[in-house]
Amino acid sequence: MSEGDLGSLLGGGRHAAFVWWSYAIGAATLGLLAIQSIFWSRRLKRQLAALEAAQGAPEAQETRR
Amino acid sequence: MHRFANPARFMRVAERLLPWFLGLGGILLLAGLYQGLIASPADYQQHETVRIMYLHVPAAILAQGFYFGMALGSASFLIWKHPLGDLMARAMAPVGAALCFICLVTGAIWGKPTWGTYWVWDARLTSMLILLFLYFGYMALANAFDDPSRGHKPAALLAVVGVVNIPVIKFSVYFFNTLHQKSTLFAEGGPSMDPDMLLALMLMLGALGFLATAMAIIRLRGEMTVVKLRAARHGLNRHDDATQDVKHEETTR
Repeated sequence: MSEGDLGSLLGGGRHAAFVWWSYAIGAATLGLLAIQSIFWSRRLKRQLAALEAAQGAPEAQETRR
Repeated sequence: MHRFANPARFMRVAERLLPWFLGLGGILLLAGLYQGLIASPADYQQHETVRIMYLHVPAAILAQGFYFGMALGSASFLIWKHPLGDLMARAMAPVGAALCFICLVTGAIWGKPTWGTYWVWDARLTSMLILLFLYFGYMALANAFDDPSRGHKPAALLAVVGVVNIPVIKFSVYFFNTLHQKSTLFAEGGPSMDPDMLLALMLMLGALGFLATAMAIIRLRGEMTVVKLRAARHGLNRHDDATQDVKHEETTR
């Protein structure tokens, strides 16, 4: 690796901007999908836990009765 | 093979692999970004824009690989009625679509300085766009019905039929006159590129492969929870109906 390689890429210029845009869009796309997937999965788990608790409650009441 | 068709058993193995995939993907990503953006040389013709390849090519390979996996899962659902195949296909679709989108956008950005245009309707680019539409079509069809179980079969059929597009993408650069270059990585006689560039490409392919698989596992966990949630709601509705019937009988007595 030469400092010239790093300098020319990080220093900007027309071609470097194309590279940065590509990686920024790639990171944003995968990052957003990862965040959406994690929150979606967690929300569903919470809903399931709430539903199971609600399902258990009437059964428990009936058993108490 | 059929032993792992049990969703719970498969998920236990997948959950155990998930931290490894995330860890390996993270390490390979750091190494790949260093190798691709800093350590590897610029191209004598394309200059710095060649570094787009380290994201564009892995995204293209994985977008096709994920679609193939989706089609296999759908086929196993249609043939052997394995629910895991359908769930896997549903989990893989958004990840594959994201990879396909990245491939198309980075390709367009690469095209501007290299070909002088962001887009041309040539065979490789158009067949890749069709792959993105197949992903969108699959997701739309799978979620198009009020009763979600009705969407499983038509979506699985679309995934299986759409797999014919994969060889079209692969061989489009050989059968048609296109602006897109021919295969460099899978060229006859081995990859025809600088070893430093090849290393960056392999590192990024490994990184994206592990991270995308980890994301598919997280989505698979979500899809399985959807099934459990639906069953629990069904059970709760039946329980409510039964309670209503008992109350009705008690009041009419």
